[in-house]
Amino acid sequence: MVPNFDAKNKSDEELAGLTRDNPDFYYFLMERYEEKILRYVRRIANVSREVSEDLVQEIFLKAYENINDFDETLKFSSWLYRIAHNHVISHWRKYKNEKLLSWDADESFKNMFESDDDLTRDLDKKITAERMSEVLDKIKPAYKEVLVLRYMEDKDYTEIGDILKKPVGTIGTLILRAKKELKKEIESGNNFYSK
Amino acid sequence: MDTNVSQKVIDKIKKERLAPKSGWHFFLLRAAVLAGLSFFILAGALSFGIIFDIVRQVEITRIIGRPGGPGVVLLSLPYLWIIFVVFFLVLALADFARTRHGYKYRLLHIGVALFVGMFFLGAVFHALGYCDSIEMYLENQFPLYSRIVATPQGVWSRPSDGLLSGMIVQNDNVMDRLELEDWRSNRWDVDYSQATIEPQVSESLGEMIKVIGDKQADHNFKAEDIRPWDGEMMRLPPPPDLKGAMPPVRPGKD
Repeated sequence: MVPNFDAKNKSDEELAGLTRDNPDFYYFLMERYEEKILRYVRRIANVSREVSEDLVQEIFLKAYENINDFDETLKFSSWLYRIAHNHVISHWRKYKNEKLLSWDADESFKNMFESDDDLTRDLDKKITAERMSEVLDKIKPAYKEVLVLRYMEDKDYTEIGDILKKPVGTIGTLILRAKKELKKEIESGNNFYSK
Repeated sequence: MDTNVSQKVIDKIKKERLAPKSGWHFFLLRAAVLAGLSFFILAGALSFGIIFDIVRQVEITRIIGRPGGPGVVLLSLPYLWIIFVVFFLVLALADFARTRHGYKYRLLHIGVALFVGMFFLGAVFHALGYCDSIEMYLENQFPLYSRIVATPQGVWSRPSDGLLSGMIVQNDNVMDRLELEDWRSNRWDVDYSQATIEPQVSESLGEMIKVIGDKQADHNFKAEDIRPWDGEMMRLPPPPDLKGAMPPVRPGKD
């Protein structure tokens, strides 16, 4: 560890710069993002907590090895989330037949209902977190991820574009389609329960 | 935190003495992507330039309005170079998407920008005469090239469609008749008494010309329009050794 170092006053990008010369500074960066990346991986990968911890460890190692490729025109968080996104996709490809688990539901999805558009206005706001996680698992993974990033990880369109390596306009379209799909899925579920 | 993944990672980095990959490694990777992109753009632009070159020499606008003209034009389009343009455009597009900020732009926008860029760069190469030299080199060095690509010589060697070209070997100004040797060394008696002769045509012996008109009988041709073969950029030297100087020609239907 670096003695008498106050990491709180340093930005992510400054810490990334310091990490290039001394890996001890990397600890402060990881500490900042460990919980966030773990949660993100759990949300998009549908794997157990143990597997997600292994994945996060690999993600941090990969980020460290590639720290000299960090593009300083991006936010460090976007770069790290991008590595996490790519690593989860590689994991899926490698373990195609692995049984997918449902993920820890939480209430953060309710941010979606605060957005003022026709699609979310009509949604049943009494939906539970558990039901929402079930529905999100049923829609296309690309739609699920974009909704997770926007409403649960609270990323703006530019950040999501940087993470998924897509143009901002495409992100807008993806979110719109994802919401439509989500609404359709929730409504079809409601009909099923009402029968 | 009960897991403390961060501590495990730091321990692993120290234990295994892991170090970040050097900045040079990433610099070289990015440079390779940019070099590839530049190469694909240049290759696409040269392909465009050669298309311009062929289209200019073939003079499609002169042919298309004639009876059977659209068919001749369709057969004479430089398909090989059109395929090359598409091929290099796709490669450039894929390479651009691999650049650091390439993902920020829509593929359609990048595609249009690259297409326009290659088009104008191709026009510059064509204007500078680079493409003419490349095409001439290909024709002379690779006989197969003239069989695959419809060369201007091949297109203008269709007397039945009213298209004839070659070198003036005799000219009778009194009778308004000239003798023309085509690209396959056949001699044609051309009557130009009612023809329009472009000002660039000097009617001198050894001059390369294009003739639009009607085939009358065996090796007799009535000219309607006589044009210079290549404007000011004469591609072939004058006689005496006509056969040796002629580039290979794709067999026409006559």
